[in-house]
Amino acid sequence: MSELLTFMQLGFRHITNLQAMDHILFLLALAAIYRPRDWRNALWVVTAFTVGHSITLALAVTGAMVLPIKLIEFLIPVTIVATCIENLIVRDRATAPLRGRYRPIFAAVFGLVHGAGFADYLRNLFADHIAVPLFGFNVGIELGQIVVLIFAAAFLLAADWTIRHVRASLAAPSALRVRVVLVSAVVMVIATRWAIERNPW
Amino acid sequence: MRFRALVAALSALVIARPLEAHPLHTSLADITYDAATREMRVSVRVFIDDFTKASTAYAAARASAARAAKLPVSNESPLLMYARASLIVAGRDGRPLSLASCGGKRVGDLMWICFHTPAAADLSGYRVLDKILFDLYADQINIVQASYGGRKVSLLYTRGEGFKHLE
Repeated sequence: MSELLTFMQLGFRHITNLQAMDHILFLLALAAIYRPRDWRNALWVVTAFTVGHSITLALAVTGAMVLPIKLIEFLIPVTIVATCIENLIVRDRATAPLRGRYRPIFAAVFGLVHGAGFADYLRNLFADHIAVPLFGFNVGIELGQIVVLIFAAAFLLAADWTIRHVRASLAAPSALRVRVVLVSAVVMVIATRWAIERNPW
Repeated sequence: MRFRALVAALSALVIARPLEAHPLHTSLADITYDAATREMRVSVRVFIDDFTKASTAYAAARASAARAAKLPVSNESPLLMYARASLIVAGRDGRPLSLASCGGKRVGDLMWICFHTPAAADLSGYRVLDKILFDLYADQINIVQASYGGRKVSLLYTRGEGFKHLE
C-alpha cells in the first residue's frame, strides 16, 4: 500500500470510529438543524469546518503554531456544547441575527479547534517526514466526514419520520424543532461530561 | 416537549460513559536496511504513557504465568519484552527473526525503541506483524513503513489482523 493511502485510511478510521465519538457528535450537532432542502446551507457549514480544521492541522503539525494539547482537548467538547446551545436558543433561523448566516464562521472557528486536536498526535509521530502523512490524513478526514454526514442525514430523516408519526394527533411544535431539541439535548449532555472530565484546571 | 428533552438528556447521561472522546491511538514502526552492517533496523515510535501501561500489564501476566508453571521469571525490561512480543518480523521461511535491542529514548510524549537483526538486502517476502497496544485499545492503528531496494512500502494494522508481506 502507498504511504498516501495508508494515512488516508488513518484519517478516515479516526473520524468514523464509533468507539470515540467527539467529531461524529459535533457533525451531528452541526447538521441537526437542517432539512434536505437546506442542503446548500449545510454544505457551507461543513466546508467552513473543513477549512478551519485543515488550517490549524497544517499550522500545528508543521510547527508554525504550538498549542497546549490539554486546553485543546477540553475545547473540543466545549465546541460541541456551544453548537448545541446555539441549536436550542435559535428557534427561528429566519429571524436570527444575520438570518443565521453566521453559522459557517462559527463552524470554521470550531474547526480550528478540532484541527489542533488531530495535530498533536501527528506532529509527535511523524516529526521528520510530515508532508505525506499530513495530506493523506486530511483527505481521509474529509472522506470520513462525508460518510458521517450521510449517516447523520439518514438518522435525522428517520428521527423526523418517527416524531411525525408519534405526534401526528397533537398540536405541537414542528417535527424539525422537536428533532433539534432532542438531538441537541442528548449531544450536549454527552459533550458536557467530556468537557468536565477534560477540564485542564 | 421540555419533559421529553429532559428525558433525552438524562438518557444521554446514562450512555455518556461508554462513549469516549477521541485521542488518536496509533504507533509508527520504520524498517530500514543498513547496507554497512547488513542488518535490518526497526525503529518503533509509540506514546509512552500507553506503552508503559501495556508493557507493565504484559510483564505482570508473563511473570504470573511463569510462577504458576514454576519457571524462572524473566528479568528483561518490560518495555523490551512487550515490544518484542508485539512487533514480529519473520523471514521468507516464516520463522520470526530474533530482534536485538539497539537502545531507546524518550522524545516528548513518545518512546522511540530500536531493534536490529541480520537480514537480506532485499526485504521483499519478509513478513511483519505489528500488534502494539492492540491489547489496550480496540481502535489502535499501527503503521509500518519499510524502505529497502529503493522502495517504500507502508502497512497498516488494526486489531485482529495477522502477518503482512513486504512486497
